[in-house]
Amino acid sequence: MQSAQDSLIHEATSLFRLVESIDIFVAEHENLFSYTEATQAFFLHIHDQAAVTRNSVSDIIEKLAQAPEHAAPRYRRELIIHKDRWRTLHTYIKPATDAHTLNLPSPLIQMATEDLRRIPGMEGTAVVVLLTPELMYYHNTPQSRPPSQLAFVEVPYSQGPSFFTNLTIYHELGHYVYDSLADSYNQSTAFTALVAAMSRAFDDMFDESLKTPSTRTWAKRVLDAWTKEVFCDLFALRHLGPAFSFALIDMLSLIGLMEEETEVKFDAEHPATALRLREQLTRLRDDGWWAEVQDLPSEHVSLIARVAGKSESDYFFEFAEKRLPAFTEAFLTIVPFIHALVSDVTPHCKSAAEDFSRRRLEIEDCFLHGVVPSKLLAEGEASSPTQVSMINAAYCFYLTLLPKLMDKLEGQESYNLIHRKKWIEKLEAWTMKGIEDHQLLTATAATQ
Amino acid sequence: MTPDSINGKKPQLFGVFARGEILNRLSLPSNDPAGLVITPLLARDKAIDADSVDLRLGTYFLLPRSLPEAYFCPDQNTATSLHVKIHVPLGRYLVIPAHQTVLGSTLEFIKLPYDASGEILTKSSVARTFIVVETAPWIHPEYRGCLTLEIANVSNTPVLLYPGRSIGQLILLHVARDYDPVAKIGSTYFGPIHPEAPPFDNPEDDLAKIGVRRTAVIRKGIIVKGGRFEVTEPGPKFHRADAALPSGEAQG
Repeated sequence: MQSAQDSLIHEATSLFRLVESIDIFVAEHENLFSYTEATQAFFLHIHDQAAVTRNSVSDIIEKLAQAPEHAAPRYRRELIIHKDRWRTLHTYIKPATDAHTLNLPSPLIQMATEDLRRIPGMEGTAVVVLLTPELMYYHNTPQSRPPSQLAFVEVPYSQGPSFFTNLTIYHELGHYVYDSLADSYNQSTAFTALVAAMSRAFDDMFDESLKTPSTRTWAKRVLDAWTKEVFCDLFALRHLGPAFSFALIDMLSLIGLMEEETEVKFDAEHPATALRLREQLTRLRDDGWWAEVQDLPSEHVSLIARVAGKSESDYFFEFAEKRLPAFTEAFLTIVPFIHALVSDVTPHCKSAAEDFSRRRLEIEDCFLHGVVPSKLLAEGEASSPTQVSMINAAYCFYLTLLPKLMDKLEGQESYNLIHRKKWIEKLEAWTMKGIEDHQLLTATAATQ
Repeated sequence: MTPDSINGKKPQLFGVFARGEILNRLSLPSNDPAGLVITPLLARDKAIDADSVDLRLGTYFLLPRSLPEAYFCPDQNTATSLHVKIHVPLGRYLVIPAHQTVLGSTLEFIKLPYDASGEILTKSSVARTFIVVETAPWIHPEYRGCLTLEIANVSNTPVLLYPGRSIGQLILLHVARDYDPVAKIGSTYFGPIHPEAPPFDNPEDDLAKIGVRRTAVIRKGIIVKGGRFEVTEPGPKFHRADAALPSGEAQG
């Protein structure tokens, strides 16, 4: 029978091998591919942690060799802490190594990073992308002490290098922002007001109906999740304009969640699509975007108008086959405070629609002639289209003008899906090139 | 000496675009057929010379792949078989081994006017390091996209290439042709942003179009016990029986 010391040496060696294997795996990928600065920072953290763990485990075994037999459990506890950390980190490393720059819309990630850094308190934030096997986007933060100010976003691997659906990354970054606001020692007035509104709504609606502490905790969690979802939608919308709503519709449609029968249904994690689109429409109107896109001959626009127009009385939340109207009623009283918080966090996004209004046709004309819209940037700083204008013009073009482009080209049929796919990918590439050029021109101008 | 007239028309004098004409053409909107687009034109004043425009190296490359076969056949599998795509962000470098060629592209996206052809030449300072942008330097009127560059290191020493640095110069030449507003544009190399692998049809398909009825091909396969040859890839559309021919002889 093995002694406790032998058993501990065996465990320590296994952990040592695991850590070394992960360390080498990351280093090999760094040699093969390029990564964003944020991912490189994460990998550096992994290398540091690996060195720390290897040294620590070696120390444990050296001390163990000189310690009495009964000291083994203490050292085992130390090993367990290391093992737990690596079990968690292990799940992040493969998705991060998969997310090299050939598999990512790097200019969009760069733009999102710059947008995050405009928010007070987030000046040093960077976005680490993880490619997930799920066909869904997630916000994700490692529980084992990640480097501070790294926001982790999970992107479906199939959507990695594409552009339009990846605009929904901004929604996931909204989760990071919301969590950071909630964790902040110095919470803003708008956030405090939102928390107070949630508390008020809860007390008014649920005092009588929810008896047990666990039910009350669950109910609070539901309201919190809905609040966060609407915050994230509006956060993304403020930065991206209607292109976010279009991308959300495309993504929800791709995973089969844009069905008419579920439009007014809330679940424990998400408010109903009808409410989400209604609040987005309100925001688009307030920010001047809706006037710019409401006449677009696109199914997406009419769908937003139709679904957002559903009556509040149709909304329902069902749990265990029982309708719970108090939840939706309570939530509707919270929604105005979410809008106020989003405005408070994103004052820099105010006039994006004005630029779009002035530059949309020019940008679309560039696409129609197969030209990257950064051409317009060279005409002078004062009249340069913003990245948001380029993105929205590209999405409008995608929804309405793609056949017109294809009609100018030899042998291209808009009903041929192979041809259509090719030109959507070209349009995405031109848009990303436009954004990349914008970033390069801005950096060049800053040095002169 | 220029003739006074050709077919009753006075001949026009054409030559290389000078700086003034380059700037004029750049100022035209992108939907103007005579307009020239070069974007992003960083350090614009320095980039445009008396008769050329400096172009920078882009960040994506196609490197030659080591094939499992002893040969490369330019056929429909080309796009995925011969090249490995890599990204070298600005601030990093790519090492080109001695006597090797890679495909890169210009950082600039270009649209040529309907009445101009272009030629990309190695920048002289780069050429003096034995790096040559070579072999397919001609750009047709109305081309648009980042230019794919065949970059060869003809020296005996590995050389570092930095994306974002100048690599070549674009010369523009007048072409005597009229603009046809209803003509469709070729779509094969329309608007690439990264270097693109060439699309090929299978050789037997190309040759069949000019009346060649029998085309020799090399087929992948294995020899099984007893010496029988088993084909391990899908056959060509024409002349399946020829696949088993041991000879590489083509017959018309």
